[in-house]
Amino acid sequence: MNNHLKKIKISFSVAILSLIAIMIGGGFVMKDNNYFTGEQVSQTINYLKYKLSFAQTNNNNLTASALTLFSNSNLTIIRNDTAKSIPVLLYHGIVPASDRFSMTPEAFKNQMFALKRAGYETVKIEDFYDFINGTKDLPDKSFLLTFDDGRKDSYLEADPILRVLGYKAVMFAVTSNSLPENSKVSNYYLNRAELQTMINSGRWEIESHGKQESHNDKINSGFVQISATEEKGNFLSNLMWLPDEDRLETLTEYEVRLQDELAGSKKIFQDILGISVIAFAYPFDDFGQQSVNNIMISKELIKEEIGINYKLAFHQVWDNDSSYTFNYKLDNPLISKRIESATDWTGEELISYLEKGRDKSLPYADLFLNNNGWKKYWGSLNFSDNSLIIGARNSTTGSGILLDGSYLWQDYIVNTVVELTKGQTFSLLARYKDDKNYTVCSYSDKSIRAEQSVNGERKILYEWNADFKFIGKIKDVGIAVKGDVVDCYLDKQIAVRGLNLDKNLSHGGIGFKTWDPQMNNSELIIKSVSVEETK
Amino acid sequence: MITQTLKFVKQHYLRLDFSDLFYKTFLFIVGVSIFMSLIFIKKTTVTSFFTNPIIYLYAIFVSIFRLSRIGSAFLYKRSLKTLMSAGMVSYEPTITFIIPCKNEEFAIEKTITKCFEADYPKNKIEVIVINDGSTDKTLEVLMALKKQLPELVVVNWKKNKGKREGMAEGFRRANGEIVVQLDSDSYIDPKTIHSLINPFINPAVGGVCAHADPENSDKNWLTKIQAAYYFVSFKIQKAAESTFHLVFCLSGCCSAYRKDIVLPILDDFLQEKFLGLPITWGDDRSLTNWVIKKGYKTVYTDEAQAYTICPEDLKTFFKQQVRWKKGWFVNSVLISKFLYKEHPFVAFTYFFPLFIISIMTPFIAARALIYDPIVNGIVPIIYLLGIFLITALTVCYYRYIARENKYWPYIFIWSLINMAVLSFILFYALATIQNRKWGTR
Repeated sequence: MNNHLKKIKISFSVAILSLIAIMIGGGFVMKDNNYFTGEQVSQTINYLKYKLSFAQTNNNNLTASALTLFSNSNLTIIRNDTAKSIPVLLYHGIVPASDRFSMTPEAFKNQMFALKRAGYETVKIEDFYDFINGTKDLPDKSFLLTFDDGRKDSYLEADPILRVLGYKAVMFAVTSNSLPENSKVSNYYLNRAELQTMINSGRWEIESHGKQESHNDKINSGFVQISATEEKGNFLSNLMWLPDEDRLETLTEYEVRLQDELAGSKKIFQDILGISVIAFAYPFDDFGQQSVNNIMISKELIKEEIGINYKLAFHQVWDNDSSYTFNYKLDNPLISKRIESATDWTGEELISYLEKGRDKSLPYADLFLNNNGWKKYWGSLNFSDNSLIIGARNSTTGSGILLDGSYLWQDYIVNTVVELTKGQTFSLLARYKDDKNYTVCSYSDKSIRAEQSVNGERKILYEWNADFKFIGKIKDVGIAVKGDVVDCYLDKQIAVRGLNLDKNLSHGGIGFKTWDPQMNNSELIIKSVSVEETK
Repeated sequence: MITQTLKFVKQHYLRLDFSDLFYKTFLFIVGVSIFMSLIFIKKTTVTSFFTNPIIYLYAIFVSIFRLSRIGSAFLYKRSLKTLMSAGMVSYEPTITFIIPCKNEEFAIEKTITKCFEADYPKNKIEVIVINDGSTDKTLEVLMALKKQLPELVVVNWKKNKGKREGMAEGFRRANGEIVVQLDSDSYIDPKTIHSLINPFINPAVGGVCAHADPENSDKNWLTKIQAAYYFVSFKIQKAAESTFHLVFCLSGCCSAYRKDIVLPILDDFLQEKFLGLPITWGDDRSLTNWVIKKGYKTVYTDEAQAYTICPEDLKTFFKQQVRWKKGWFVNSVLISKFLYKEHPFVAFTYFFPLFIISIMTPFIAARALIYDPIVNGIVPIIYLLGIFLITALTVCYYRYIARENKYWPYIFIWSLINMAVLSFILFYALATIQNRKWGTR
């Protein structure tokens, strides 16, 4: 009888121990499993929803749309041309209520659907690098899709859409958020298992956005104290204030920190995820170029350290900066340009924004019915009465614009009709690469000059001093570049010829400038522009 | 011919009702799926292991404990059979029913007449009623009954002495070998009396508890919930305890004791004190404790069927719950030291875990239902889902052993009430533990 009870006790104990083992073991096994989660289910539902909705916008027939759910219909538009330049799009988060950095799933869907319908296709980051490096051609309308910060929401919402469209994306994640040493799990940032799932899906590539680790709480969401006062600055490009020792960190300490940030984050991603990391996204778009930083040398140090660890690094282009918005072959891959898609853009707005940046072919004529890519980097720019009006603002002595997408033009002549309404000087720019590299014809009442600027160093190639009258008069002017010769035209005649143009200025686009010694006192009305290739 | 063969085969080789087989298979599959889901939500708690190990361990601990009770209940029949393996020849010892009562003019007649109707040799039955100072017409009812049933022994106390004294008096006056103690508002199904007595064939058995269901189950929603609760607490909790021959509470509704064991401990039972004051609740638990301390086995049998009256309004219900909690707490403390020395297996697989869980549950529930939602804005989905799944598993077992019982949906309501209200009553009970008023109903 006691034996019976013993048997029961033993079988009971065995059952309970196996229950414990199953429960704890099962829990730990499933911890790293991302299937059968609520997120996974809602992603699948979203995928089907988006697939249906994409098909519906294409043919408006519900039955036919529903059929696409079961077929892999060919959505890709065949593109014969090769791309001359490639845009990189930047997104942060996708949330129900949009803000400066996050858009709604609906807005993101609309932008992506619009891209697909306009014929845009994503490329992988390695292909992007090969393109910049000049070793690979990519089809026209290729673009690189990137996300910053490694946020869960952007992955969860974007992935079903990417799946529908066959798009790929790059996620720039932060190691201290996604792969922290204490294995603390975040509800906001992607965790290790999710990163792994993303990689396995083949749709995502993970690259580095730094470690952004807090050193004794000194780095707080990317900012550090940078002086004895409470002043804060970006952690990557500033010497950090050490309050315990009442001093700034030394340059050596900074370099160690920089190295840890750049090499360290790459190593963590590579070691934990078993991937190769080739790209870095500058946090806060700051690679040391920003003037508020407390050491200017940080730019050089970052550049050096980035070059050692990464093949590609990304910063942002802005509406009012002096650069082109797309990436070209043989550009510096360590300051690749990214366009941040505005969270309130419709799909059409995104497409028209990209159209402005796309390469323009010659001949080119512009009657300013709308903005085809004129980008102001100084002063103001307005369209009115089929004219383009540029001028100084309260805080500037002049203005400057460039034509986006004209970067690859080589030998051409620009004819333009302008009226100087205010100010001393107006200029036509050619072979414009950026605001430090270009050639220019400057017109003022005293002279017409042919000049060049190479890395900011200006040189007068030829100057004709005479009495001219430009104010208030409609003038036919022009600039022509061919080989190393630049010609300045006035009334269809060559007025000035500059020779021995620098070799760096072998190609580049067009632009305009105005200037006056006084603030807010220059204005140029541009009535028409036409550009023809010269043989 | 073929139908006959089939019938023969079915009768002799497949002694199964197919609909029942499908039903049970279905329940089994549901049970397994619920168990899988349970493991699955543990995946979520695993992530909190690093941040909040106590919550994680509690979650695992409670799940395992509740599952272990079901597992243990599953083994109960087998365990009960081993006790009675020594041949089932007609075992019919003399029995005495003892019924302490106070102000029970309406229910007492049924209780007594059912005793006399017992399917048992009449010359071996004795019935003793102790009228403990009733102030209503109980005595008149008893005297009228005595005229019809001259064998009925009525002990009449003018002054109320308390239930313990009444029980003790019954034991002292009993002539039977086995004493069946009945609550004045409970009665035993006369046909099942043998099942209650049979386990005593084994000399190691000191007490046997009958299964009890509320007689007034269908009165209102509260009684329906209690009907479900009675079912679970007897068929699962008591059955699970019985598997290891240690039932900690031989229910006051209807339980049988071996008189020789109880007589020597009556004085201890009567003089029992806690924190310096006599104990006025949990008499059934207390008597059970003494039987266990004497080294005897206490078991439960669901073949003996008793009925009782459960509270029909909330106030009485909560009063009863408070008394039960007090009784549980005090008697658990009193037996704990003895138990871990003499019955370490039961102590560590059941007794102490139950004690810890009962104390922790209100804290965890308060944290999940009040603190987390308000302070951290966490909706307690995982917590509620966990409770739901465990309850669902219990219901699966419930449906498995009693397909005909219709109160099972109320188990879910019971578990909600238990989580949100009853678990907190423990603190009220502890706070008022020095209030020893004799508070039956």
